[in-house]
Amino acid sequence: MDFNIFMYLTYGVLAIVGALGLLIAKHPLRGAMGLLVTMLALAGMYAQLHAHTIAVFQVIIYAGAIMVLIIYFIMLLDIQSQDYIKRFAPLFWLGAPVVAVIVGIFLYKLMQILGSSAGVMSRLSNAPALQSSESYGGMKAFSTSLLTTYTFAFEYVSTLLFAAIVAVIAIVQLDWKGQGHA
Amino acid sequence: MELFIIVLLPLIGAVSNGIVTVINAARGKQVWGEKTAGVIAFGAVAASFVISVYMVFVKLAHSEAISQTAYQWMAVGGLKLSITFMLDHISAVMLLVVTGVSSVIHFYSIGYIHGDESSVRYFSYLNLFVFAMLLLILGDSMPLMFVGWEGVGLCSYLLIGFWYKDEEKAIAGKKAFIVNRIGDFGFLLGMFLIFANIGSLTIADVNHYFHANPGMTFFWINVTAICLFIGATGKSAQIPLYVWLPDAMAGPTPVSALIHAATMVTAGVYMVCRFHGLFLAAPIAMHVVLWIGALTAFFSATIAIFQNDIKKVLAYSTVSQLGFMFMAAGAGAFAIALFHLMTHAFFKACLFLGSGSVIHGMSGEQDIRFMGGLKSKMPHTYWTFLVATIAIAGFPPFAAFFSKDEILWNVFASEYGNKIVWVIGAIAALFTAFYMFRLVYLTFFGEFRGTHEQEHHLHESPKTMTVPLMILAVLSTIGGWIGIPKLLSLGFIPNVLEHYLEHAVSKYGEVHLHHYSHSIEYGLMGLSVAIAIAGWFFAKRKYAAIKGQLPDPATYKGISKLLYNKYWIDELYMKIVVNPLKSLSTNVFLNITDKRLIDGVANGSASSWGRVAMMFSKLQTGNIQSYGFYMIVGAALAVAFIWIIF
Amino acid sequence: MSELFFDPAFLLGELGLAALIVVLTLADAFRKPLYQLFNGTTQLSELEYRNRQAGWLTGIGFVIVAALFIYTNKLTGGEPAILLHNSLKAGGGLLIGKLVILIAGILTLLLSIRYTSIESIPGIDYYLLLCFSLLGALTLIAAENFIMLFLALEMMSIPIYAMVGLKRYNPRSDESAIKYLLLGGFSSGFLLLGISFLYGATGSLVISDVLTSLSFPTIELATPQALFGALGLIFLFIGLAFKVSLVPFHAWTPDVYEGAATPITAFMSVAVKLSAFAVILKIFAGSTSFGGFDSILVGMLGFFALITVMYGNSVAIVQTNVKRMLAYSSIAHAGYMALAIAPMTHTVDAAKAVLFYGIGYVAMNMLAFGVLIYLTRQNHYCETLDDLKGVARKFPGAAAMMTIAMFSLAGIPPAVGFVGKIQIFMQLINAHMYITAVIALLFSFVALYFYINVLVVMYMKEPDTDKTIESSHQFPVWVAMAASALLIILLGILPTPLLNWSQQWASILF
Repeated sequence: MDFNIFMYLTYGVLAIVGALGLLIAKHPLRGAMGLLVTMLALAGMYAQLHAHTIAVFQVIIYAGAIMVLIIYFIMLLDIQSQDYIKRFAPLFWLGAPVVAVIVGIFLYKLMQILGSSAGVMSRLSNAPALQSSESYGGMKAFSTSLLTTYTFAFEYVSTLLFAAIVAVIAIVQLDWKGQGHA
Repeated sequence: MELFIIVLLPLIGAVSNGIVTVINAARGKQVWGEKTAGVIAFGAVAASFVISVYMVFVKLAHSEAISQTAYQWMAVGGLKLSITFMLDHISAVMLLVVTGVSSVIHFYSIGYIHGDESSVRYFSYLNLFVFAMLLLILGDSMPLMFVGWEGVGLCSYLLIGFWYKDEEKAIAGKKAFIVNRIGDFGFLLGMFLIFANIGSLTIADVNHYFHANPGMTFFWINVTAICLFIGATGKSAQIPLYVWLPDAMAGPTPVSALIHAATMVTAGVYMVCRFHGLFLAAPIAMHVVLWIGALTAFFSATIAIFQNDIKKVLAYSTVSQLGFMFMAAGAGAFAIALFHLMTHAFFKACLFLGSGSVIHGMSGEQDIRFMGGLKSKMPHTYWTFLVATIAIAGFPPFAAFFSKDEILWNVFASEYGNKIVWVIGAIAALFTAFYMFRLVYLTFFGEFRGTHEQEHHLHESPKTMTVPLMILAVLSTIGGWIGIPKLLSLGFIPNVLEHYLEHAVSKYGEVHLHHYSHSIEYGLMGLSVAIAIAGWFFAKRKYAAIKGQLPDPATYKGISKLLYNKYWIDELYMKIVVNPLKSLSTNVFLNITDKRLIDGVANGSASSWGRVAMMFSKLQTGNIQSYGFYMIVGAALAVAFIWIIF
Repeated sequence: MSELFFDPAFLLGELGLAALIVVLTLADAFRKPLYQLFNGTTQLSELEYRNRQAGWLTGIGFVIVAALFIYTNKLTGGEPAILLHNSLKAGGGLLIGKLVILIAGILTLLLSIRYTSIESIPGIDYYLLLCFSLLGALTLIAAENFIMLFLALEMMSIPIYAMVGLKRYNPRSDESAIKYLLLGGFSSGFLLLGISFLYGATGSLVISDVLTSLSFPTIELATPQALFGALGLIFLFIGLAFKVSLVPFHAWTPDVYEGAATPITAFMSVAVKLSAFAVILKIFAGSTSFGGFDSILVGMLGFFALITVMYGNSVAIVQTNVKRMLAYSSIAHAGYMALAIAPMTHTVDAAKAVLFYGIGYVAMNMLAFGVLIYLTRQNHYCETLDDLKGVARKFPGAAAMMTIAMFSLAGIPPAVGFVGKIQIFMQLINAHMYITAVIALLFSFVALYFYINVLVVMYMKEPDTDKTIESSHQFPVWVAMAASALLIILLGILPTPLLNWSQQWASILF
């Protein structure tokens, strides 16, 4: 097996393990760590796909900035309260099999189409994304498409962030009854 | 354009009175009162009548049909919906009856509704009804007819519940609406079947299609016809959907006369006649129509015998007479069905308005057990009521003699007819004469059985109410003369009606009568007269000289108890249809999904669903999880659909 | 259709709306001096005065934006174009859709002007969020690639999450905002998963390219591409089905509709639903044939649409809260609209039917909620059936308006709802889906019960003795109600122009 493919699959497994950890961890902080594992594993997958810029962003922004925010929130929570450390909502036991069914159908059909695990491997090793050149996901290529094809989307996101800020401000203002802005 | 104006005039009346109702209520002052409203409403309908007369006797005199398109409504796929009105000989009869009787009843209403605080609203509804009815009659396509069909149902609902402060009346309105919806569903279903098969919905196309070359199989033709007939049973109060009509008597009496006797309830008969091309191609449906008509005629006549509410008796009588009309239609005698429809409109409107006059005079009393001896106090009402009673009982030469006799003869002799049905019809006719004369004797003869207060107030009704009665009484007498069978007049008096409708109803297939000798025909005619006399005789013997108070219905026993309680059909429907539906929506939909799963522990009332519900509520910790769970289940279902091709 | 990089002429309206957002933000920043400058004589509280000021400012802005849309049509000669590297489609029939959504915004504004003060909601924040949401809806129906589609959908939704929670002192409002936010995030997850599957299957994010690549025989069956394509479409559908609240993705609807301020409920039920349906049409009902996928989509859409119609109409019967009842009714109506595309005939006719129904639905739902708002006053809510008892006596005008709305919702002629229902059922009949049509029809009769029940309560019940019926005599609400009622009747009697417009809008979607 190609080393690239091996790493790619390893990161994939890690991402799933991390996500499961997030779901079933009792302590919120452990859940957060599970999330961190997933984010880093995703960064690894991006790197394996030659999308280096995105991989770097993933580490800096998600694993760095957003993770810090999440950990602050957890610090502010009252961990003593029993509500936070319940492991599963009862519906989990109903929901999990249903999710398993969805994933099961998908995998079953995929295997049916691809024939066997050998088929999967040959597909993977021929996958164009894993073969593409160094220049594919570099900073230059990334910037070019961000500032040409997706200019409008890029600008639109800034408006969206503005909208989100207004929304947050509107919702967190206190003591406005009869007074308007505090 | 003229047809458009005929339809539009009542709408203008309705809208102007409707706007004034709203303004009056909002401003608290009168823009115009009941006088103006009444004049506007009556004027609009009377003008429609005049134009109708002109159209029928001048414009239609030399042509088979007049078709006028007002405007194109919309085009969807292959379906072009335009507002086109068609006047042919069938709709002409109906048009004259409706606008004519409506005019008379509008006039009567001016006196009747006098003093009611919402009289402007009343006239607005009444005009709206006429508008919808005219749409139904003149519309040349099924969708337009359906608009009118729904419209008259709506107005009927509004007018039954007109005095909505009375809970019972509001409920009666609701009942009428819901039962009618069931029938409408049949109509719509038939309409869809027709459109799916011929791609056109105009009446002419439909009749022509089924007459010429039905590409549909025999089975589906009959299904289509029966679907339409279910619509008719809803609107025309036939078994099994007749239950709403007696309750509908909660409305003002002119409304009962106009909508629930003379016009709206006959819409089902009219519709069957309209689509006679389809029905003639569907022999099974014809038999269904015949039998349902006969059974309805018979059963409601038996119920009418033991009712004590003057309007209830007339209501069951209406149901019964409508059954006669369906018998005629089922026997293929569409012209006779329309003939009886017309005569029935006259005498039943007269009877209802007469009962309104009686109730008016009796200060609102409707129970005939507390009436009696009104003959001398209300002579005009008495005489007109008597004339109409003689007419409905079938004494010659009054109107219903000719029409009812023709119906029975056709049932006897037609290729679609049936001797057993004839016997049922004859017995129903006997009962008709009996309960009608019972009504007359209990109301107008004997001694007064009401309170002193009522006796003191007892008075004849004003001219605005008695004049319409006289007009209708005259019509009840002579109305049948336009359809005198050839046999009876020996050809000296032409059978105007039959001649007029001859072409219109035989265009899509002739109905053959079995040949019988003249003596049999004369014999049957004589039998009809004998039946009427027998009914009168029994009623006179039992009720003419009644003394003292009548027994309380609670003491009825045996058959009279069964009949007084209308075979307990209402209770039966409540048990087998209404309650299960209610409990289904409450228990299953509300309780499981909303209460148990969603409110779960919070409300935690474990009553009907016991253990299952407890299991569900144990699974429920918070709302959002369960919502998310539904989504996941939905996603799994959606994903499972890939099985179709992969 | 021309492809341009950028021509401001096509986006005048959106730019105008963006400018309005800036103006409103500035007005908020200078609120104190503005208040001191203008409030010389009025007796109103500061909040109420500012709410009105902001309301009328926004209103003027909306009218200008509407004028800009019409001007755009003139400038561009009614020719559509694709702008900004396949980001947006603009011009042509799309302007009709944009105008309709803007009109929904204007009606919401009219319903809100006094209502915000009744609920002590700070007006400027509220109107800013409304503008953002409108901007999102306007871009959503124009989106040409999946990135824009997702961003626009979020732009439309995020302000609404906040608006739902604006009745802060009311715990129900808070609760429903959180529910909507979390479930909305969940559905966005489905949407994104669908988009990435589609990207994986086709290598493109441009909607038309994706649809072309997915059509047969371009794509071979029994390849991973086809499987991912099918799953992508299914997940995309789930994400959008949440927005239009098809069963079983509907569960948020009753709670959120009940908890939110009534004008927001009205806005959600019409503008969000209509624009989300425009997207569903663009992707699923387009002229591109999915070939083999059709059978999946017919089954899936038909199934979900039918259970939606059945569930919505059944559960609505037992509701005692009118807002909740209207929520279930809106679920049922979404079912009807989805039914029209279920046959997958890929004709403009189906899209036309849905859009016509959606536009008519704007008018009728605005009217129904408008009446509820009209009957609301400080500390006096009109939400349950009990609150409506005997309304006809005291406010016959409002009762008449409600009658029109209920008739139209129930599909009784001559209201526009009837014309809409005919269009929908014609789609099913043309596709020979008779059983589906019959079931849907049966449930539209069930629906009559709860619509008529509202009227029964209003006209035939005495008000409870401990309750009074009040109204705030709000002039703007009257304007909104009268306009909607007029539209309902007019479009019911003369539907041809609107049919033509929805045809134009439908034909530009693909």
